[in-house]
Amino acid sequence: MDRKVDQSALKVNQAFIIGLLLLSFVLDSVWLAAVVGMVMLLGTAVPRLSLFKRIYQHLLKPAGLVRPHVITDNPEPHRFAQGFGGVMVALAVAALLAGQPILGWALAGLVVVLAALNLFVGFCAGCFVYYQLNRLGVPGFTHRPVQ
Amino acid sequence: MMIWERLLLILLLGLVGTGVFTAVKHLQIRRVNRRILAESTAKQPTLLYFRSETCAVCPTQARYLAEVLAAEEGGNGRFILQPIDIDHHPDKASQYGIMTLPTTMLLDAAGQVREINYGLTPPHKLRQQLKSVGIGT
Repeated sequence: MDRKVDQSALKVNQAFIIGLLLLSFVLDSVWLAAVVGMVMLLGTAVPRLSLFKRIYQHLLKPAGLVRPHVITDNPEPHRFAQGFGGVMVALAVAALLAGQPILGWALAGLVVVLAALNLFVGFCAGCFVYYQLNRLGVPGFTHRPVQ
Repeated sequence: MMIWERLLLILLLGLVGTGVFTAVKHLQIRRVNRRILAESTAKQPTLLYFRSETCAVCPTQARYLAEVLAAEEGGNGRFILQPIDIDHHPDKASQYGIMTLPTTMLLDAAGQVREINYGLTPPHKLRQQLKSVGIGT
């Protein structure tokens, strides 16, 4: 059976993450960054609760603002990438709350850069790591690239 | 730090990042052209397609390339599509400075690199680039 991933849903997700993390930096809002982190982690644990993807599915796609772009792909590496990003944002928030703003915003900035690489260049760093771990036979990373 | 200072910092970092990316891409084109100039024998534009088994979106890129090839070739073979599996040809990956997959490189009829695309590249962008070397209308 073909496995399908809507690339547009992923890109909307990445755009929200980038936009809101940049906004949280501009406003110096640790809580906004924390909300982004929670959304990312919750969306990883329970994909159907992914807030930004639901905004795409229930608002942007029906309104014709974003067209679907469904390709054959595994969803698991993208979930892993989001989970990794969510953990990085959580660490960033912890650093900010611990009074380490340079470290905190640097970690959030790294998430922005990685999401931007995915959004604009099409390189998913988390997916790359997932497939390398699959190649090494690490338990839990069971999916190979779809051929 | 005030809000406008943070906005300025983001803008600055964005500009620097874009500049670095553009510069790296141009440097790579020049470096690859210096390396391949002596070997080039093709008399037609060539689209090199670097792929690997661990590259998740490479099958999708292959489909996009097949679509472009079918639309532009018309049975006349106006350009060459050359897939390169870097798992079997790591020397090619090194020679062309491949940093990510998939990467597509457009060479003109003289064998010079004109465009490099990092990551999944949609058919319309490939067709636009082929037009710049005289393929398609």
